Amino acid sequence: MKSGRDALLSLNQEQMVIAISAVLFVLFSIFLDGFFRISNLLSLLQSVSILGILAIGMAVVVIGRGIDLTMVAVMVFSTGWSFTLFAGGMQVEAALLLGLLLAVAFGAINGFLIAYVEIPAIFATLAMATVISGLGRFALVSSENIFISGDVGWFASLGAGAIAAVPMPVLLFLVISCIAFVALRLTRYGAFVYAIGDNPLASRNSGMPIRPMTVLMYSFASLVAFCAGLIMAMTVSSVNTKLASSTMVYDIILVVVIGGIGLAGGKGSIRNVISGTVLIGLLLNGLTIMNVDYSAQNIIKSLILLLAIIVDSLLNPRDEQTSQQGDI
Amino acid sequence: MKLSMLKKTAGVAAFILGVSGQVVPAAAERPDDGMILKYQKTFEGKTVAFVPVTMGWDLTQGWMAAVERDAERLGYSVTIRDSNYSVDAGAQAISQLINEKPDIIIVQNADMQAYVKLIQRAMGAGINVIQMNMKTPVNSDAFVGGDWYGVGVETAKEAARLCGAGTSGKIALIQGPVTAPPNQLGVAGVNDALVDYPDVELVATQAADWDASKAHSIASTIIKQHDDLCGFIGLWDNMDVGIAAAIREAGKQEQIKLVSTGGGNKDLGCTNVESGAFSSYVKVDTREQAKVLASTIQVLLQTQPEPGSQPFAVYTENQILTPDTVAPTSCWSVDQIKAGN
Repeated sequence: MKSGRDALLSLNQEQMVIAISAVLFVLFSIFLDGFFRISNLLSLLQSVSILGILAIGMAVVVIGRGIDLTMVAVMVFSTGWSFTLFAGGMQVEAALLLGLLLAVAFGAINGFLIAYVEIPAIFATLAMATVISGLGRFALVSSENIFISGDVGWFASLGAGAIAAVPMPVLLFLVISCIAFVALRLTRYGAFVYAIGDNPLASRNSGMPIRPMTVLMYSFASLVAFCAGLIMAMTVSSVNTKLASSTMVYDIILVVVIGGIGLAGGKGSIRNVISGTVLIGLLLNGLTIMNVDYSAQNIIKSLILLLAIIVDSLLNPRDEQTSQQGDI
Repeated sequence: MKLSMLKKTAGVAAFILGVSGQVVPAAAERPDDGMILKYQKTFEGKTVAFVPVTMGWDLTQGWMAAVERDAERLGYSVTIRDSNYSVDAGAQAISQLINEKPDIIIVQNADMQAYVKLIQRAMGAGINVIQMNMKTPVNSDAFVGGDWYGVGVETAKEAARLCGAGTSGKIALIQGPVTAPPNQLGVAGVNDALVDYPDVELVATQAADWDASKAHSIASTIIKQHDDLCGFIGLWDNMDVGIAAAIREAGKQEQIKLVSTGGGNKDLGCTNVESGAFSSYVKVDTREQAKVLASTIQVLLQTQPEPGSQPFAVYTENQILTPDTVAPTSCWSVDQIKAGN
């Protein structure tokens, strides 16, 4: 009995998630007609690829002991602005470049507030999300839903195309995962992110540029948010800025936490994001196939988030030596 | 001296005119047909206030485009208090307006109950109230808007027509937020109408929160799950473009029909009907609603009825557009409404 419990605890969260995913996968394959088909599995991955991409941006910030609640607002208003400019007659490349710059600027402001003004990340980004939404509604986009009716050239293939039957959003999710993986694991900056997440003061004392690094992290998250927004816009030919006031940002955190990236920072990798994304995808796909009622789906999703946070706090307890007021 | 003489003459003239009840056109004055001069004066200094769910929709922008045109032409003023999806903010805005006493308050109800008391209070305070697009059980001076239940019925009939004999008869319904009243009424309409079509089977009902991207994911899963699916019913064009994208991706444009509904925005409505992305589109014309709203304001400002004493409604006609019947003028853009087209 005891040894069984020890064995369970010795599993890390990522292994647990993979195990749960595997069990779900087998159960769905046996009991759900039409689940175990390549086309359905690809559509499963496609439906969570945007969430997965956003989660990569969030993961980098969370590993660096932060959190970015502005991601969804940045995503919809930067791309929304781009396509508003495009509808106004601007070249699509120029419009997208401006949107991208705007997104990175929002990220840099987040980073500046957190690193230099020293506001806890959760409050800085919470306030910034409201600022971005307000500014967006006021000055950037005229309508809540921006429908893209013009010809956007090859950009359209970012959302709708497929290579060897694999939908483009899934491929882009993998490409962005690889880039983030390389950046985190193989570059100096990646090592800095882990160090800062593990112990900011020690990193600072050993000479790491933690403030510029923080700005860089949040800018990266915003850049990723813009890419996710672009892919989403290209998939459905419209930008829904109402998402900024939805609970989508919690879904992103759900993916990050469920995959096993501790909210206390310094732990986890891109692999965790992928396994978290796959688990959520399995659940959403299975629940849709079973035609489960919407409210019941929400209950299931939120219970899983709660469970994941409990497991997270057991496996990754706060480090009393380095934690601060306002940390999450 | 000269001035007082003039005044006196004018006074006498006015007296004579008043007594005789006839207006002799002065040199620079237009002929009166008994109404036009009064009409032109009625609106001066009048105020109309609008409390929308959000000004972020083409719907509310379209309405206000027509009303603001009229306001400028006739000389009444319009204030907009955007509640931005918050019933609290909307309630506060209405209370505040009751104190400010405009001549008309236009309320776009977020649901069927939230503003009932406030609408009654506003009418009690002598303010005429127009309810837009979503009616509470309380009748105010006017209701202008769509019949959501009827829209649901129409979409279901269209889906049944498209998925009749020779097809699998399997359809799926993608709805908005389950708690939103227009959505609830629409879904009720769909379900009730489908009872008459025993061959049509509703194989899936899922909610996509009016979000195109969510609708896209759900629709692709449903398409993969039901190989012989015949059609989708969506309940708002803004969301349904996501379903259209999923059908396109699956390469099943021939097999799977999509019945959508919306206000007839050119980019969302007609473009998609023309391209065949929407096989059928139940149009609840915003442009028409905007004109009716502007006329309703004119009527109420002229007649100034005792609030709530003679309630009336103008329900928008549900028009069905298909790729065969859609015309260049079937749809509108906010700019066109602003320009009066």
